[in-house]
This record gives sequence, structure tokens and C-alpha cells, in this order.
Amino acid sequence: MIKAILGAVAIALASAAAFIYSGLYPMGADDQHNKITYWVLETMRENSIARSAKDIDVPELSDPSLLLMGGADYNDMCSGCHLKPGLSENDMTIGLYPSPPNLASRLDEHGHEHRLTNEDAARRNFWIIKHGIKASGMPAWGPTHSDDRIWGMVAFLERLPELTSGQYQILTARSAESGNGHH
Amino acid sequence: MNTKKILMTTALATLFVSTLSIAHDPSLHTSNKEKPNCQAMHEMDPSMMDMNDPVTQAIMKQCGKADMKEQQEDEKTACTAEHAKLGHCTLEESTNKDEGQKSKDSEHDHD
Ligand code: HEC
Repeated sequence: MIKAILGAVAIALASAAAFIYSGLYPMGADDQHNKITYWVLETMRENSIARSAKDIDVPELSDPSLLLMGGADYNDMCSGCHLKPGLSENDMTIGLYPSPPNLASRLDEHGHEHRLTNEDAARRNFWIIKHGIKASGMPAWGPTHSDDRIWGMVAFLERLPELTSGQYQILTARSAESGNGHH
Repeated sequence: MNTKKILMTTALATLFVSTLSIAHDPSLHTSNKEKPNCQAMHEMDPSMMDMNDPVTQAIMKQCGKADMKEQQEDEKTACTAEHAKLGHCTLEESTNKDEGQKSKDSEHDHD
């Protein structure tokens, strides 16, 4: 009996190794995951982020200057992948896999559920922006940006889906900023 | 062997330069200045705007600043003593400067 189990384990390990070395796994971004792989990755991602983000203290996000800082940063660093009002797709949203969700839209096209409170959504967004998401196009911005800058973008993201393109343009324009290169 | 090294160096240099285009420091973005297009806001009915809403406040802030800048530029060329007496402008900008200083400090106290 034990011998049979050991034999089965050995065969399983050997075939896993054979599969890894065979080159049979499709690696192209234009070849989507099957349902099982997708479910495993998504569940792992969401549970991991929820666990890591749960103790983050959310600051006051209603300061208009926070919105302006976050808006300009979003426009410069994120809109290329996550779009802005008036755009529904571009090379990045089409070509990247997993695809960057349209953060300017309320429509939940990227398929996972958002039954989060505002606070939890803010924590989740902060964590994702700061740490990025492995093996996806989403970079970690924490190494190069202060937490304040990241909270600014979190504040902006909260309001982004309801902005018109006119409002978006005003909020993200940098020329009205008083500071000039003091960093 | 040497080609490999050269390729590696080139690749790293390219990678480094390409990161500059997604630079994170706001001062590096000033070259890509865009003016807020406040015309749309000026045409809005003020009674329709919720002044307690941070988005409205932020828009007012952006457009107020932009207006002030334009005004200041006008002043530089057209501030006569007569205008100053009427309170349309000041010969030495002082009040506006203070205001700008204040918002600068509160916005950027993170470093
Ligand atoms: C190179 C493209 C790219 C850039 C630039 C980028 N992201 Fe992302 N982002 C992604 C991808 C891809 C995902 C989805 C990852 C996944 O599904 O696992 C993502 C996911 C996210 C999410 C999670 C969305 C959700 O509800 O699931 C947030 C929030 C986010 N990004 C914010 C930002 C912000 C803020 C910036 C700018 C500082 C930014 N991203 C820049 C590609 C990008």
C-alpha cells in the first residue's frame, strides 16, 4: 500500500517536472488562462491583498489638494494603462494580460466583485499601488513614491469614475500648480 | 563575450532611460505643462455646484489659480496707478504671493 502511494507520488512529481521542462505551457499574453488557472490566481491575489492591507490606516481623503496631487500623478503615470474619461481601450488594455482595468469607468469589466466598503477599497488600492502585482503589468510605485503621493492617487481614484472629461482635464492639469521643482 | 557585455550595458542603459519617461517627480513633469481648460467651469451654473464637494473645491482651486496667474500676467503689463487705486491690481504683488505660498506649504508637507 505505502509502496503504491510512493509510486504514485513519484510518477506525479516526474510528470510535473516533465511538463515544466517540456515547454508545453502556453506563455503568450494573447493566450488566456483556462478557468481553473484563472480562479487560482485571482483567489490567491485577492486573499493575499486583503490580508496584507487589512491593517493600513486610511487617512482623511477629502482634501481637495490631495485630489489635485493625485490627479496630476494619475494622468502622468497611470492613464496610459488605466485610461481616462472618454477612452475605452488602448494598446495596453488590449495587449496586456491580465488586462489593466479601466479605472475611469464604474462598469466592472474586469470581472471580479467589488463588495468592499470605501475604507477597504481605499486600503486595497493603496496596497496595490504601493506594492504592485507580481507577474502582471502593474508596477510597485512604493519604492519611488512617498505614501502621501500614493494616498493622493487613492483619493483621486475614488472620484475618477464619476468625472467628465472636462473635469478630468482641469483636475489633472499641472500648469496651475504653484510649486516649481522643489522636490 | 565582449558583445554580451556591451549588449547587457546597452539594455540596462535603455531600461534606465525608459524609466525616465515614467518619472515620478512632479518637477520633472513641468515640461509637459497643460493648462486647465477652465472655460467649461466658468459656463457652469454656480448654483448647480456643490461647494462642499472636494471635486468642486479642487476645480475651483485649479481655476482660481489659473485665473490669478492670468490676472498677474495682465497686471505686469497693465497695472497703472489708477487701476491700483481702484483695487483692480496691486503695483507690488503681495497678497497673491502670500496665498500661493500658503497652499504650496500645505500641499507639499510630505518631504
Ligand atoms: C504598464 C501598465 C500599468 C501601469 C502604468 C499602471 N498599472 Fe495599475 N494595473 C495594471 C494591470 C495589468 C493591473 C491588473 C493586475 C491583475 O489583474 O492582476 C493593474 C491593477 C491596478 C489596480 C487594481 C484594480 C482592481 O480593481 O483590480 C489599481 C488600483 C491600479 N492598478 C492602480 C494604478 C495606478 C494608481 C497607477 C499609476 C501610479 C497604475 N496602476 C499604473 C497595469 C498598470
